[in-house]
Order: sequence, then C-alpha cells, then structure tokens
Amino acid sequence: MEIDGNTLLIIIIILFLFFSTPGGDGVSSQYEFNQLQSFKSQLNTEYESFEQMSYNSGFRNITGFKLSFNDVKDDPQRNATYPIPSKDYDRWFQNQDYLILPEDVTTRVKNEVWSPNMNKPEENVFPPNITSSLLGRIQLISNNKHPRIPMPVPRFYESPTEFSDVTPPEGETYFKDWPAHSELHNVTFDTGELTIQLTHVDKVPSQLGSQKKKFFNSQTDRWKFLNLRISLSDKSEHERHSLYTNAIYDVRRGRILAMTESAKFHSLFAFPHYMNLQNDNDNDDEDTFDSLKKAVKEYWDKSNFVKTLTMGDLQSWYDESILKCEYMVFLQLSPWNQYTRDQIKMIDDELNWPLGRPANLSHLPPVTVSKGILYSPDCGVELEFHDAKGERYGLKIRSIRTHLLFGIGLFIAQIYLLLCQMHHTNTPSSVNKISVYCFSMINLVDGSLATIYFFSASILPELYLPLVTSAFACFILASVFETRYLISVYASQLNERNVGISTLLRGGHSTNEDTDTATAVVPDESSISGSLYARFFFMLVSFTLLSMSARWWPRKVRMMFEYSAIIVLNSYWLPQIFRNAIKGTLPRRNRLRNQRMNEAMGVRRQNKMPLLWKFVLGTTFIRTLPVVYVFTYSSNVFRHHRNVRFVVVLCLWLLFQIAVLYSQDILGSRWFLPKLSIPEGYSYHKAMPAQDLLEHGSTAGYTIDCAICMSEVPIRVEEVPETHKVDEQTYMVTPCAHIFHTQCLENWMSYKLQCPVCRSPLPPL
Amino acid sequence: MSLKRITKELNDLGRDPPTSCSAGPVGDDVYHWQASIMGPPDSPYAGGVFFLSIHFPTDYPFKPPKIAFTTKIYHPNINANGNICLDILKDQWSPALTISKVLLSICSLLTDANPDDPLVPEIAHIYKTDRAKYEAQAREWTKKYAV
Amino acid sequence: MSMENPTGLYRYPVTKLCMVGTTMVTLVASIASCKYIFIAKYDPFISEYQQYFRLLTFQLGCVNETDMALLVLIWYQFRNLERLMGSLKYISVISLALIYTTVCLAGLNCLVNRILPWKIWNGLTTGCLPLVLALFHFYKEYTPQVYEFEVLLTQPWSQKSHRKQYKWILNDQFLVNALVAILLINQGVEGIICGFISWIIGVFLDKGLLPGMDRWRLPLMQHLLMPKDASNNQGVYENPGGETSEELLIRRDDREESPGASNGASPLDDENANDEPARPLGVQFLETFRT
Repeated sequence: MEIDGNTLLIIIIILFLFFSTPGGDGVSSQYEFNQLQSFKSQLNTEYESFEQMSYNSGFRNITGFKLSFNDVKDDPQRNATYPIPSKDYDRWFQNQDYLILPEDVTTRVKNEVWSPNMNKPEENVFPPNITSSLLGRIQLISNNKHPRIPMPVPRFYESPTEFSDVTPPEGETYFKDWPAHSELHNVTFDTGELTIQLTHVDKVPSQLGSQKKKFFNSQTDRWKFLNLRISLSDKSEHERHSLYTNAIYDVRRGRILAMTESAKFHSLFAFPHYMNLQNDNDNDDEDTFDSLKKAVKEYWDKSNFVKTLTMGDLQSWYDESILKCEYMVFLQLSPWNQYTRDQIKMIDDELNWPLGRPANLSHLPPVTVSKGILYSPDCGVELEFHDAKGERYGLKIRSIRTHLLFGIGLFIAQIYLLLCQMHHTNTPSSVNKISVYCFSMINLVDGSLATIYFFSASILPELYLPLVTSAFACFILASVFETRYLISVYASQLNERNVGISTLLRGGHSTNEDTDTATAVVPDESSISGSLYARFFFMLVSFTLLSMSARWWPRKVRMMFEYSAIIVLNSYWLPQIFRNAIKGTLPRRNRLRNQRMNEAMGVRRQNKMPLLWKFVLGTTFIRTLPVVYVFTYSSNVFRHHRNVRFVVVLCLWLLFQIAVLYSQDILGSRWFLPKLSIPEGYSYHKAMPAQDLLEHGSTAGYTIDCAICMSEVPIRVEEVPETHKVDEQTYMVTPCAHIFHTQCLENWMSYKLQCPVCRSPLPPL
Repeated sequence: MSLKRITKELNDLGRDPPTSCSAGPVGDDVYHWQASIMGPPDSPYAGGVFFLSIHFPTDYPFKPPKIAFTTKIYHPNINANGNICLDILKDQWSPALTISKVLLSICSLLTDANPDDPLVPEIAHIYKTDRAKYEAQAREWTKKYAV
Repeated sequence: MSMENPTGLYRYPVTKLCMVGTTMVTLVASIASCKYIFIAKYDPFISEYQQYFRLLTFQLGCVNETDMALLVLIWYQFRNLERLMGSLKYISVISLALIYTTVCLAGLNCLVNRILPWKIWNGLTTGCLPLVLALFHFYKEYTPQVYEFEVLLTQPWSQKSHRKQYKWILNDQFLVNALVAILLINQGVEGIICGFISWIIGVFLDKGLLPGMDRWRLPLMQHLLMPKDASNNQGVYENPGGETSEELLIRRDDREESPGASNGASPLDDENANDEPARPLGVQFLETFRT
C-alpha cells in the first residue's frame, strides 16, 4: 500500500484522537465498576468520620487505626470490625490505649526523635525546601518484640473468582502470617544502608488524566507535603525493602512524619493526631491538630481525592497491602541555625532562579536527618538511624552541570586528537596498520555514553540543555568521526579478512602461487559503512541495556561486572599492539636511517608508527580521568564507592600497554616475537630470474617500461652478472610480477593499494 | 614527473597514432590538450567528428585527467556540459592507463552506451524503451553538431 | 571595484569572530546556566551585593535569544565596515568602542544612581548593544547610500485617482536601521538610554574627542589576522598610518585598478586551487549523513 500525504494525515489524526482521549478510570467490567464504587464509598465514609474528628476524640472507622496497641496486646486475635464494643471513641490520649504504637516506641519518639529541645520554633531555623536524597546507615532494633496489629484488607479488592461475578464479596480478610512473602514482611539484617529521597508535593492534579496541577497548601510556612521514597538494604544488597510514603513536614519544628498508604492502612487521616506526639502537652496541640487537619482537607478537596481514583490506584493499593508492611516513620531534621530566615529564602531563590545573589552556595550544609525511627505496626519491626545526610537537589544539579561541562571539554579534546590522528594516517598504507578492534572499543564506549546521555536528558528536565549538548558532542565523536575512521580502516583491511595469521605476518601475500588469493575485493564504502553502522548500533544498544540493567544486580555481581567491564574496555591499545606485531615496523633507528636515505632519493616513504603519540597519550588521559575521579574522589556526584587499589591497577595496566607500544616504536614492533617464528615478509625489492623477465616483454639490456612514468626501469637479473650493479631499491616487483620504479609505485600506493596494471591487491608497505 | 610522462605520451601518440582518435596540446600549454574522436561506424554517431578537451592535473598520472566533450552529443552517459560518466575517469583510474587507451574507451562507450548508470536519465530511458527513437535523435544531433 | 558586497564571510575574519563570539558566548552561558553574569541592574546587584564585575561583563553576552539573533544579523551587515577599514583597524575600533562604552555607561550609571534620589535608570542593557550603537555611527557616516526605492501605498478601493498617495521612501540601509531600531526597543527604556549614550560615544570617538582612534591598534592581532596568502587577500588590508577612511578608499581603488597580485597568478594555479576545494568541517560533517 502506498502511503501518500492524505493517508498519512488521516493516520496522524487517528493517532492524535487515540492519544488525546482522557485516560479514564480504567474500569473494564461491571465487577470492576462495583469494586471502584465500594472503594470510593469506603473512603468517603472515612473522610466524613475524619471531618468530625477533633484532637480529643479518637479514630472511629479509619482503616488500620481501628484497634489500638493495647487492644491487641490483650487479645491478639481481636476482630477489627467497627464499631468495637467497649471501646471509648470520645477521648484521646497519647498512650498505647489509643495509639497503635507501643509505649516504648512512643516514648522514644517523644524523647529522642522529636525531642523537647527542638520544640521551640522561635529558636531554630529549618530550611523550607528539603528536596534531596539522603544516605545513611540503619539499625534494626527489634523485629519480634511487639505484637502485630491485625490489619484486615477489605475483600472487595480481590479479583473475581468467576468470570460471571458482578458484585465483589463483602467482609475483610486477615492475614495472620506471611509465609509466602516472609522476607518481604520482615527485616532480618542488623545493620544496613538507607536511602531517603525527599520530594516536595506542592501541586496536585485536579482532574482525572489532566496535566494541569494546582497549588493546594495555604499554610506553606507551617506544613509541607512531601513524598518519601525510602529504601533499605543490607550491605550486600541481598535483602531490599522500598517504601513509598506520603509525609508531612513541620517547617517550624523540623519534624517529618511519613506513613505508607495502602488498602489496609489509610494513613492520610492519621497525620493530625500522630504529628502531635510530644512531651509537653500544652494547648499548642489542639492548634497544631486543627491546622494540620485543615491542610489535609485542602489536599483532599483540591486533588478531588475520591473522584480521581482509578482502577490502577485500587490495584496498587491492594498490591501494597498484601506485599508490604505498613510503616510509620518519624524523622527530625537538624536545624540550619547559622542562617537567618532571610538568608535561607535567598538561598532557595538562588537555587531556583540563579541570578548570582551572594548566597554562598558552595558552603551550604547538607540536609541532615539527625535521628529517625521506622516502626511497622502490622509487622512489629522497629528500625532506627542517625545522621542521614544528603545534598540539596538544586546543588546536586549544579555540580552535575559543572561535571557535564567538563565532560564536553573532554569530548572536544578527543575530537581534536582524533582529527590529528586521521590527518596523520591519510594514505591506505598507513590506515591499514591501524587496528579495527582498538577503535571499535573506543567507539563502543563513546556510543554508549551518548545513549546514556540521551536517556538522562529525558529523565532530568533540569539538565536538559547540558545533557543534550553532551550527548550531541559524544554522538558526533562516536558516530561521525570514529565511525568514519573505522570505515576507512575496515575498508583498507577488507582483503585480509579470510587470511590466516601467518600469512598476515608475511605481509599479506600468500606464497602459494596456485591458490587464487588474488581475487580483488573492491571495497565498496557504502556497503561497508552500512554493515559497520548496523554492527555499531547493535553492540551499542546491547551494551547500554546490559550496563543499565546491571544497576539492579546484587552488589557483588554488579561490582564484578563493573570492574571487568572497565578493565576490558580500557585495554584499547592491546589490539593495536597485536596489529603492529602483525604488520611489523622497523625499529625507530632503522626507520630514521631509511627516511634519510629515501629523502636523498626523493621518495616520501610511508614508514611511520600508525598511531600518533599525541593521540595515544591524550586519549588515555581523557578516558582514564573520569574513572579516576569516580573511584578516588569520595564525594563524587555519582555516589560511587571509593576504591583506590582498582584505580592503581587500571593505571598500571594502561601504562603497561603504552610502554609496550613505545617499545615497539623504539625496538621494532616484533621484538618480543622469536626471530624464527617470523616468516619472511613480502619484499618488493628482489632480483628477477631472466626467464620471468622475458615473459614480461623485456627488451634487450634487461630493462622494462614502468607503466606509471613510461620510462625504462633497469633490473637486476639473477643470471646476468653485468646487471648486478643495479640497486634493488630502485625498483619494485609486485606479487603479480609487475615492475615499477620505487618512487612511482610508492607514490601510487599512497592513493590505492592496487596494481596499476592488473588491479590485483598489493600488500601494504 | 607529470610533465615527463605527458611528453612521453605525446611522443607515443605521434609515433603510433590510434585509428579513430587524435590528440595534442592546445597552444604551448602541455597540460591542456584537445582531442578528437571519429564517430564509430557501427553507431548512430558515424560520420561525426567529436572534439574533447583534456586537462591534466599536476599530479598526473596518479590522478585521472579531466576529459569533457566540447561537441554536443546525444548520449546517455554524456551530459549537456560534455561531462563523461566513465569509471576509469573517476575511481577506477589507474596510472597504467594512457590518453590513447582512455580515448579508445570513450569510443567504445559511444558504441555501447551504459544506460544502467546514466548521467542523463531521460536519454537512458529512451535508449532502453525506444531504441529506434534514440538512434534517430543521436544521428540528428551528430548531423547537426558534429559534421 | 564592484558595488556588490561579496557574500559569505570568507574575507571577514573580524566579522566572523564577532558573529561566532556573540553566538557561542550566549550558548555556552546558557548551557552552563550562568547567563545571569551578563545582567547588570544597579539595584540590587551593585547597591546591595556590591557585585562590580557585572559592570564589566554586561556587554559580553546576551540573555535574550532575540537580542542574540538581532546582534548577529547586525554584525553581518556591519561587514562593510570591515571591508572599509581593514580587519586590523576594525578590530581596534571595536575594542576601543567596547572599552569606552563599558567604562562610560558603567560610570554614568553609578553616578546617576548615587546622585539622584529617584531610581530612573536602574539597569544596563545586556548584550553588545552599546558597542553596536557606537559602531552604528561609523556605519552611517562612512557607508555610502547606494540606492533608494519607494513603496507606494495607494488605496485600491478608492476610484478617485491621485487623491492621496502615500509614499514610503526607503534606501539600501533601511535593513540595518530597522534592525538597530528593533534592538533598541527590544530592551525597553534602558536600551534606548544606553543606546543613545553609546551613539554619542561613537560620534566622539570618530571626531577625536575620545582618543585612540588614529594611532592605537590592538597589539598581537597583526599576525593572527594576516593569513599566509596575504597577497591574495583583498579584504584584510592593513592601514599602518592613521589615514582617514576616504584616503583609504582611494588607495584601495588604486590597488584594485593595478593588476594586483591576485590577478598575476597563472591560470593553471587558479585551476588547481579550484580543483580541490577546501572542505570545511561543517561540509564533512554534513556529508556523513548523505547516502
């Protein structure tokens, strides 16, 4: 089918309609519709009950908060169906009769985390914007000391058992034990690593599927809504837990309360009560409660919480509830008392809209959580940590930008060096001595870098411009310059593809005259570039995917992969060493002597080392610098661990390669091979038997016409002694037994490695 | 180098002229020649005499000479400016080729055009579909410009 | 001497430098996200934060992409000035004008803001608008008007002929005038104030009230601007003595009429020069995308 403009237009319009339809709530059956209705009505009922809540009244039918810790302590099999007989709903105290926390956790939160000396808002200053990613070490306090609070999951979440089901089942399921997912529901390591990503939520989408977002918080000087992504893992990363929680940040006191949310734990309604855990019960509590309740209500209203729920939400709430423990997280920030509020405002402004204000950003202290407790009521796990630290996100972006700029500089330097190298090897003979694998490795690294930059540009909108510029510079380096060079190297070596290594050592020409090796493959540049580009992109995509997926491998495997990949990819001079050995260059002393001799004869000889020293050293430096930075500089932007020993090994390895290259330059490229193992290479300069000469139409006087300059070439003939005064260096005999002046043929060989008379390939000099 | 070789070729041409072509320098500039080709008798160009200009590059014979028709000719591989689409004048050049060999190649190109790699696609199309029309047209042009 | 301007930037090294510089500085600043160093507002940067470096940097780069585009276009139009003065003198005049405008504008701005109690002139412009305005005087003064054309604005619907016919007379310089006008308006009141002052500076510089124009030449530039084939290069023409532009023009004409070095080269060399045209990096880059 031929696609003309109109068809294309229709397709585009259809696609546009397809993609621009509102997302919808994802309901695809009557059963699901009823599920969603039950979900919404449950939340609505709970919200009504939340609206009537005051500081002195308890939780009524809020999922996950129906039972208190003491209820369960007395009777672990307690049923949590509202209303629970003999429960006092009209009063509320901060003890385990009413809280779902055990007394000692509450005490620890009150005394150690949200300690009273942090409780004076007028004395301490906390940064209002704390978007950052914190790192710390976490300790397990206990994982079986406290009884677990049963948290039933309503049965309407379950998927239909039969296809014809229309109404979801009623009632609730209690999960008593978690045999199937036990490692998910228990933390078994003693100490581990902690990462907390704090993100501010200032705006919420107000309609289903709409991109438009609204501000909702009218008390930003007091409360901030956050999203916390907390990940815990043991040191070897065999056991990992990740929690995604909503959180509220008390800007005046530097407290953060985070709670997970799922089908069995509707934590949103519990924020006002639990934010108030503190020792001095004064009348401030009620004010805090009311203000926070107002903030939650604003959030609920502006986000149209119930109306925007979809089947996707329902499913993820259900999954969270059966797969994970619920956690309550209490965090205390360290104050930034060295700044005034105005200074902090200036810092925030400068980070958001840089204008060069004197904010002294380079000395900005890290965001620090001085103490935090994680407690899971339904799994009874209690964890704590001290001093999790992390840079402000804006600062991090700035430092990444600086690094990227530096990287662009490195790319430009590499492009320049490559251009010098290309200029250095501008004849087929010299390009032939370059190793394809050497440049393939370099190219692979650059290509993967370009891909990674492109990916990151789509992830990090703040750094779009520098990332795209880096990606562009890297792409030009890899896909234009390096691949072009590779193509010309590849094309010049096309004739050796099927030739054994000993033949190559001999100089590319088979001595067996009867085999038809002289089938000249005419290098077709476009087909070569096609196949090379295809190979390049295949390698690149597979390598990039591999290295990206390596991020989620366990630590040990990941490090093994990383180290071996870096070592292998930094062996780029190794193929060139082998190539040099195969092509065989003379020691530098001999080369210089030859050059002087040739200059006397007026011949420009193609007898130099294939790689420029400037290129070798520069490329090594450019490529090692980032690795050295990442592995030795402990506070690098990638948060990579430090390993100086590896860097030393890597540098020694590279130095070794360069040393071998240098020794090949000085001593001749085959010095490490035993003399006997090297077969004699093809020599263009040899005496001819008289018989052969006659066959080539030699006239009397043992001369032959050079087809290039059309003048006579005197030849040294084996049987005729009077010709022995002719220097063998003045003429060249090709493998196809055509004879030219040395000057003429070498001149031609700088254009093409092909016999001028019969077009058969010539071995390079 | 190039001067020596061109002089040699000129001498050879004088000593052993090819049958249907001739060539020689224009004025006293050895690097600029003029050549003429007689239309091959078994082709529609029979009877015409076609003139060509030859410019030698300074690095001749390592680079091909620039050869162009100065006489207008109706041919799929030769365009209105007289440029010739012939592989040995481009990437298949070899220093063993001489002007007389190249002129002979052009002669055979006149006899057997290569419509699969045309310089003037319209003529190539006519050549392939309506050979008689092509020949008539070529004969007419020859009569008009080359007699 | 032909009245046509040569197209392209082959013989305008200084113009090329200015155009590329304007673009690159802005781009790099944008990538590095430090465009703010080109913003010089008296309040708060000078009065409150004491960031005096801004008084020196405000001309070096643009904040606004429109400004950048306009400036590049104006630099291209100003290549006539380079042709007239020669590259060395042109770059010297540019540096002089840059120094004078920067110093005068910064000084005046500080002075006005210190003395006058009310803030009428808070900010300086960004981008090399002052420099361009100073050069604009030279352009108007020394570039001859080549032609003029009228735009007739008749009313097609009114049959009573020749009742009212508006005529709009434009000349060949109207493009530059328009570009400069847009550039001035583009930055608001500050643009107009700074532009006016810079224009005056340009006049003073030309008339000799501000010294340096006759004798001073940017050092070390001679070798950079003189390519190896200086004999072939008509555009780069040094003017060692402080001659005025008119004298210069006459001398140039003389030189053109005499069979110069450029025509003396043998046709063979010319042919060879054309044989292998230089392939700049851009061309090589584009060619890799061709099949």
